[in-house]
Amino acid sequence: MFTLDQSQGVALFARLFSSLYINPPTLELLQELTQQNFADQWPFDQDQQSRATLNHWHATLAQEDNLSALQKKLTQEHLHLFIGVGMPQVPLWGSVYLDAENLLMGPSCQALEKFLAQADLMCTLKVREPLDHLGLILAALAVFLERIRKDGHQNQDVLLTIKNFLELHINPWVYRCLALQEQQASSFFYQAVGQLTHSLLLNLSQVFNAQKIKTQLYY
Amino acid sequence: MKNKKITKSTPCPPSIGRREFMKLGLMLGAGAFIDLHGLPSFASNIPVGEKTVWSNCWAHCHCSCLLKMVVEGDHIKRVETDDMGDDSFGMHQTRACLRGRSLHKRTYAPDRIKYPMRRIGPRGEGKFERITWEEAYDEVYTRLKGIIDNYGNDSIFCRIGYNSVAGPYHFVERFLNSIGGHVQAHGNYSNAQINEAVKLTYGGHFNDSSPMEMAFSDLIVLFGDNPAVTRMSGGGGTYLYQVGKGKSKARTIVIDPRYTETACGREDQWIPIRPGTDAALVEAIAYVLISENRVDEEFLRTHCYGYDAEEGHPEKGIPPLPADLGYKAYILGTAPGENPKTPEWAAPICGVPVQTIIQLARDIANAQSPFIAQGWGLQRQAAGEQNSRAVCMLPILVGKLGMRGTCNGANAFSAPESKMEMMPFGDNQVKAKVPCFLWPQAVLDGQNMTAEKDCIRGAEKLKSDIKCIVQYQGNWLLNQHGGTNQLAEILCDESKLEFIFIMENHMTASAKYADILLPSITWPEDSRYNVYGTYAVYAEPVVERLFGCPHPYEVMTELARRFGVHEQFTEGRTWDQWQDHLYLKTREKCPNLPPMEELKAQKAMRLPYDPDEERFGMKEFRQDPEAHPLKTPSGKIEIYSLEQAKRAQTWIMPAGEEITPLPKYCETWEGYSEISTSKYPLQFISYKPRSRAHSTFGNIPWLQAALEDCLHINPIDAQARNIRQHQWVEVFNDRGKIHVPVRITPRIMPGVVAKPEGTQYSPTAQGVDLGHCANTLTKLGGRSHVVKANAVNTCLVDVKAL
Repeated sequence: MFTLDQSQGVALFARLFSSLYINPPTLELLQELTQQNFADQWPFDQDQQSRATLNHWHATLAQEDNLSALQKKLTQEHLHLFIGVGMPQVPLWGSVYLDAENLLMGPSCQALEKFLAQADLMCTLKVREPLDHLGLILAALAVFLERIRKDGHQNQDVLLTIKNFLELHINPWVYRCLALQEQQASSFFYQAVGQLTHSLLLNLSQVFNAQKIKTQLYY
Repeated sequence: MKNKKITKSTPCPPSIGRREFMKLGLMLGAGAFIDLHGLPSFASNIPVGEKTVWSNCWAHCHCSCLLKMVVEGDHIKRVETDDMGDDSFGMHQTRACLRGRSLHKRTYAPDRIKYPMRRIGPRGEGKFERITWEEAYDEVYTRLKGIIDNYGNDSIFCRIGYNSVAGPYHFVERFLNSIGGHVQAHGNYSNAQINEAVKLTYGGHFNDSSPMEMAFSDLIVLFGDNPAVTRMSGGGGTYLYQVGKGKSKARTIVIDPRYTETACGREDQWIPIRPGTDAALVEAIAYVLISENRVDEEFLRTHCYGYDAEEGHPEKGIPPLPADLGYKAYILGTAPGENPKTPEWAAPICGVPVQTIIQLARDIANAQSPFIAQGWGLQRQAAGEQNSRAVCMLPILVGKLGMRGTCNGANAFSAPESKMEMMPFGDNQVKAKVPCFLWPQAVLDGQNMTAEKDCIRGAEKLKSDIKCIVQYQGNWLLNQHGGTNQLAEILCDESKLEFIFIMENHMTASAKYADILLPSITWPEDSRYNVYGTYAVYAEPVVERLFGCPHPYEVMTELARRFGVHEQFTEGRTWDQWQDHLYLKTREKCPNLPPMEELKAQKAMRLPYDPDEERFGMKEFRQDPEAHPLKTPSGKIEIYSLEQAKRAQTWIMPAGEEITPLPKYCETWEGYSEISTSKYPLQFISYKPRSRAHSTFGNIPWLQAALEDCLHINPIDAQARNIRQHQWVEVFNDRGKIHVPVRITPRIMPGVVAKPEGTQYSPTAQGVDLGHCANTLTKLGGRSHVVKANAVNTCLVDVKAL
């Protein structure tokens, strides 16, 4: 099944992508990503494609002679992709895809927030934001995965939580979102983040036997 | 043991790569969630279950309806409306229109402006970078201070979009006044001309008669008035219009270039009229009334000044008037240089047949209680003041105003206006006020604008060009002003406007031109009291503010703090403390309102409405004009305006425009009179959309699906241009081009095309506005003769199939 090591690894990558969806990378993070190649840490052994992506990601960063300029560029790209000057190019909230009027905080968002609350997660954000944001979802996923570690064994509740989270609240819409990201992201950086997030969720779904239930999408 | 074997079961230290990877985790931090698994449970602070919360609509429609928000957890599920009581008339509900019911769709729009932004790149390209709130406060402070230091407060222009109950954004101008002041606008885009017209004629009384008075009328005549759309909510007048009219079943005549929703089978006669020619029609009616001896000569003598010769009152400073300067001589053509304003003269101008004019005049003369009113379409013209004054002449000539069932020819809107006390602006050190529509001229050449030439008020002239604009909501910086292409060029010139500061919910055409663009909260996230129609409400925030957006009052407070005027601006009050304070002050004026504690507890309360109350103005004046003079120079109804006579002596007018003491039909630039010589043979007007309040709500697809944003064109004009139903067309003139789908319909008269205003200006590189904003066709400097106000309904275009 899934070793502690693997779940720890997935959780870390989830946290990394979460951070990059919520905010553009800081200079410090860029420097870290430039210095360290984490391709070998990718927790899904069969997934050579993702290792290659990680290698390439690291290589492009290592070649960058002006990280500061890159950081500014990525900040702008992040603004247009995910926050929007007006409508973001890649809305990261599930509700935009699942709600017939593409509104935030739709019934799917409420369902997800209820799910998280019932799964004993408490949001520490000081401001009110819809929690069905891909960045926040990845952060929640990381917490669930780290529970495997905390419990020290394969706790059925935790496994079910992860399965349901993927199957009911993530899989119905996230691949459409990631496809948009592939179209719209101008930098290899955010292309890579999208591809790797895609792989992570797909592989995790396989491990936890989470289905992709055919759902009507409105965006 | 010497050689301790490392077996698989012995935990290995992490490899180098693994260790670095774990460090990454530390760098990324804790993330947005805390795991409470296994810990003692605690009550979440997000409420569960469904509940309803009373709230209020703030849309820019001159009314305000009671809303009932259905909330689940802390999400607004849907918006319902006033359902208190049994809706029996007199205790009836104030029910929201479709716009009010979509308020939450603005709150939850994914394209909402979420965080503060700073422009990068040239102005107008719409390129921004995100900044923090602290950076925003510091930068706005620094730039505003720079403007004031370099150019003075006279270089700052601001107008809040809606200076009244439904949009209480007074804290913006209050803030500017606390840091030395700013140039204010006089008049507004909606009704500057009619306000002036009515002030000149009646000294005020612009909206005296409620449509309820129609219950006592035997004839209703509406000039360019479309309450079914412009007052379409329960808080607006359309319900009262239906009830009032329903009681008397008075014959109703709708005079409008379009067969509006107010007509559409609910009228008895539609008289199509060419835009801008209402004054000509009125003069012909006046001719019939006078020559058939149907005017009320006594009323004209006792209550009016200027119908015929006047003796005047030297002691009161009222000059005598020779007969040939009076209205009668003007209409009959006995004044030197004047022709008789016969129906035969008027018909080719206004497009109303001679017989129709004559019959209309007789209908008015025969009516015991004619209710004659106008909307705002005919005043939004180059000679708008003339049109408005002209329509007022009709009740004046037959002496039917200030009595039951009548209207003085001006507006007849609404439910009882709210008497809510607004946050005081504070003392504005800058006294000069610029006509609302002339602010772009003040940017280009403000220091040369004067009272005589440009209707500057409060001062002889402006001291400075405008270098800085502050816009809180509103879309007047570009979209809602005349001549979008031409105005965009001015906005792009950073040497002219050095600082543009905008706070807004959505990326409007105006917002793209901001230097600093800040989000604001939407109305369900705000709080206030309101008293309107048949309710009083204490509306608390329905949901928590999204994306951490501060209350705009807090934003202004932070700015005031940096300027060192925090105490002066806030008077020590938070927003909610201000709301309490203003409600208490309101109750001082209106003690019948519920006590604050009761309203806070109940949240929404019904206020009674007396169906039979007298709701017409000028009653006392009518009964005793000596004892109750009007606020005109003569104290009487001024058919001949003494104020206008003064201005005619001193004002500097462009060629072809004149200030006239009498209401007169005037030929104007791009009026009907120019059709024969113009390249552009069609008159273009815009009208209010039911799916928006101007451009607000335009980003809600659910609403936009309810109304087709298209160009209305008569079958005759469409056929002449080989235009097929629903196809896309180009509407164009020298100023711009728009592409828009067409609706061929007999609901608009030949020679006129019309579209809803408020769609967002979206020019392509080739210069075509695909957002088909009406103002891409209108004239930037197109202002009215007297108060230099918004004349966008004076516009010539042509249309071609695409």
